[in-house]
Amino acid sequence: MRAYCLFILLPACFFWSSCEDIINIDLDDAEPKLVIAGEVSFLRNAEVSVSRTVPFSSAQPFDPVSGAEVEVEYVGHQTYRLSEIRPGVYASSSEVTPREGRTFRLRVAVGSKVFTATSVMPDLVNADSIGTTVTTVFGEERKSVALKYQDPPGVANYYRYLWSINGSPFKMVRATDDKFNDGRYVTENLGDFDTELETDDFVVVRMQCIDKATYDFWNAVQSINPGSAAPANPPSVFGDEALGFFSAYTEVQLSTTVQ
Amino acid sequence: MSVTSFCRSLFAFLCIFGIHGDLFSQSRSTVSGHIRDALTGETLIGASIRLKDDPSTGTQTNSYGFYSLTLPRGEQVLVFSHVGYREQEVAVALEEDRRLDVVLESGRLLEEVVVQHSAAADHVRNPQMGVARVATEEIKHVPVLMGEKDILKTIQLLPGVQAGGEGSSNFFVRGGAGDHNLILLDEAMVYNASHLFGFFSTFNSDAVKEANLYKGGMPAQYGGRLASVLDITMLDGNNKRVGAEGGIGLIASRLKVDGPLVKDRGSFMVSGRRTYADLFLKLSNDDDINNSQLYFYDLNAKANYQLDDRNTLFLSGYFGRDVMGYSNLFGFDWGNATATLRWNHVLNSRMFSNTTLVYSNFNYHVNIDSDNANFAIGSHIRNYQAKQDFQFFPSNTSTWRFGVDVLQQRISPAQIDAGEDAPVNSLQLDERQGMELAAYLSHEWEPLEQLNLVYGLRVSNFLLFGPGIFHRYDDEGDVVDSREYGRGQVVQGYFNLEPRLSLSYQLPGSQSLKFSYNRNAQYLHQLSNSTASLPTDAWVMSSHNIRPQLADQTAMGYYRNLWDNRYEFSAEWYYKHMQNQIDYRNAADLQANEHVEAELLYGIGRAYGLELLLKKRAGKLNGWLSYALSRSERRFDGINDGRWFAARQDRTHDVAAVGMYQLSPRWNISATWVYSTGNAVTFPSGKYTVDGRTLWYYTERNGYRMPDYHRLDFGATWESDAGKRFKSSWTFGVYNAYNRKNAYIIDFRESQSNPNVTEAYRIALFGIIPSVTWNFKF
Repeated sequence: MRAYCLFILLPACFFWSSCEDIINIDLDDAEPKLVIAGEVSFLRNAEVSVSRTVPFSSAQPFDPVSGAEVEVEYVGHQTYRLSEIRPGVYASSSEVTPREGRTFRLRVAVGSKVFTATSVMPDLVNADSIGTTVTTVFGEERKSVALKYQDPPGVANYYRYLWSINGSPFKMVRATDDKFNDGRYVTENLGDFDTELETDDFVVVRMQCIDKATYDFWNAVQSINPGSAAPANPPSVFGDEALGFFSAYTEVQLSTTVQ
Repeated sequence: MSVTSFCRSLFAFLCIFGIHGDLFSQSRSTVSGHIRDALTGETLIGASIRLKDDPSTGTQTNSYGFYSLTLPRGEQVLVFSHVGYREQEVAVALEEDRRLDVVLESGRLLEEVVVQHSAAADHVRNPQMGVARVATEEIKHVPVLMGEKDILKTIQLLPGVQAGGEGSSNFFVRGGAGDHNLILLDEAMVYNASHLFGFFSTFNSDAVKEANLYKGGMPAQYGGRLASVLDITMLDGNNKRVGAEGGIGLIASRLKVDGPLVKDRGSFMVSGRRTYADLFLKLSNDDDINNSQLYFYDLNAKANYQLDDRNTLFLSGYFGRDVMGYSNLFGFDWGNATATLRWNHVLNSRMFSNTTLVYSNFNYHVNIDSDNANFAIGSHIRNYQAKQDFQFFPSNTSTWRFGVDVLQQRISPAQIDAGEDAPVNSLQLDERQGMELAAYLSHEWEPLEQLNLVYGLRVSNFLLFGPGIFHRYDDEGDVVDSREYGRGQVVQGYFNLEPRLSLSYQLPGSQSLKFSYNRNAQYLHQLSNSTASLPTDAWVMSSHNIRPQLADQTAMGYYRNLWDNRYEFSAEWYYKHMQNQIDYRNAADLQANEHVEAELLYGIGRAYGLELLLKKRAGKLNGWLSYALSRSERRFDGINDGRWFAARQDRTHDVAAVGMYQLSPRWNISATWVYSTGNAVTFPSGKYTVDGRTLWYYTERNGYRMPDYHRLDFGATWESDAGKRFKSSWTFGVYNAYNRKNAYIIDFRESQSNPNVTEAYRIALFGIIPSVTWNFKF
């Protein structure tokens, strides 16, 4: 649906003689707030970052919080104690191996404050093919990477896509849900207006199946646009005291060379 | 109190006053009739009729140009006047009730026209406050964007009316939201009054006679919205001879044809407008581009026929559409259609009746048609409305108005039709049906020579009907109860008493004090979480969860005419309290969402301010200066920790200066300057990084301000010899003459040179834009 919204805005942009420039805005420096981002997936080490918000003008957007006590519990099986591998980044020393049950609980203690959240890992939805698609917009060819998969009918599914182009760090492309295409055979076109794909680019795509709370977080992030009447922080599973999310996800990784 | 018992008491009330009227019938008689333009036969609205010997005795024509004045029998000299027309005196020997139709000659530019005590004095005397009358003729020289004359943009230059944004035809009145304005075109509700995402209004000024904007002291016959009523009247058409006029502009061309159906008894008017920006797309070699569409059009049509002295029928309609398409792959179109049938009936010289039947519809369609995607999205809202209005003129100090209003509305929130191999599923959300019943009674009364007052009551009753499944939600937005209702079953009802009062007290020397109070209830709400005006913004009716919005407004005013009525000055102060206001949860999903009501938050609002207006209506130089000092705030439990915060349209200062000068018989020049404090906006006060991505940290809703907005526009019009049958004119305009880069959007992004550094950037929509339009008339 979002792609179609873009189509609506395009002619409006072409039509008007708008102009853009960089300006200086004096923004307040808010009290730093705690930020927790936790991720768990099978056959990978659990990783949690703990940091604080920084002033908007700061050139260091990540202000690590060291010395936190971080645990991830695979409910009914095992508790992983995470150790700080880089300032503010905590990881388990072993991979999480799949067993019965999918509930995970995160516990982070910073000083005297304790934050907890749970996440239920969804079933994996496997993409069965990947390829290149070409769209012509106003005479200009744009390439995107297409994934095809069968969405399971009758259940709400939430997806998050990340890609790496020619070995660059993975970057989120978008998060989607199946509100309009539940149970369909879905073709997901991944493209980014600011990133032009060229023939022979090597693209690795991670398709994550995430829970609703994680989708709500990333959907809020991607929904904020310059036309939002009231931009706000994405909803946090940690309540008012900390920003962030905790995501237990399943993932499939595919790669393709752009045609 | 039920509607029937209300009607019963109303009847009883009127019988008493009917007797009261008869007591005078021995010594008094009534003169009544229509006032029209001498050249075109158009009825004149709000024209003044006063006794020459006693200017405090008189009345005004209603919205059909009808008046009724009961006077002592004998020789009387009546003065008929209207702003922009030559005053006319008529001597009558009044021995019995009689009919007197009068025509007035236009004479806007003559200095002599200004000094007409009666018409100008109405500004001071009229108890109605918070009203602005805008005639198309009066605003034709005001410079506007792309040279498209636009009544909605001109009213934004009045105090208390704010522009929705750069170049936008949307407006906010006295701190209210965009959906708090009731926009009527020949009494039909227009749901979406803008084209092309708000840059142009749906009102082609060729077809518009005048507009009345009520921002306070709402008369009892109007209801259903909190902040304002914009009542737009289409031209009836020339009933003397066939004529045509039109124009070719930068973005649109217009053509209007009008003339008599039967000379002096009936006329018609048909007016159309179409933009042609997309015609340039046809020049492209690319098939995708030359098959693309981007245009809008409007069609207005009206006919009236006077059956006899007592009965006139009016039929009017509007149809407009925006069409947007990219190649054959994507299509998006939306628009309004309205139809109004009215029957004016003069029951007797003191009783005027109008019966109105209205149909109004707004819908949009999206079509996706490509190899691997084939589906359509649609939504509509439509209403049928019946109104019966009576005006009763028992004496020259008393006018009664009463009637009933039945509005049936139906909303189809979203429908998706998808084929077997489409990427989406078909979807049909339950339609919603509701009925608004209202009855009203008001009395305009002059108990003392200095005191005029209008008091009244509107009783409104809203009923939400099945069929469908209706949910109740708790404070967290979770469903607590779902119930299915059958067809015609009442799901929820609301009942409101809306008292209205306006009064003026005249002081010596053409000045007066005014006061008004009104309560308004609103049962239809528009949901929008973007700053643009999108045709897809959904309408919802009051329900279990959405209570009717209520506003109580109190206003006080000081009115004064200066320098022999050449200048009109007014100062108004108002305070408005609003209940059951609507806001949204973070990242609310407002599109095609069965549980859209779960995404809403409810709170209260308040708006207050001071508005000053100095106006010169006629003469070589005319125009106005307007200033508003105001505040508009909201309070919601879930936002800013329950503290008051500024509404987005809260602008402390708002200034407009409009000047038009008749340089020579051929040339008219004009200029407009506007200044306003920037909107309240939400900017980040920090940032953080998760998963390699930098996100903004927001601490306060609307805690920041956009930069101040100001702009200067120029216009010039050259007109051909007024004496010729074929007249033509050129209108030149310059929008944003000093090329101010007013910020339309301010946003933030990672710097391209260093992704760790964040920068703010500004998008300015319109730089300096010249325009030229050629108009003709014969």
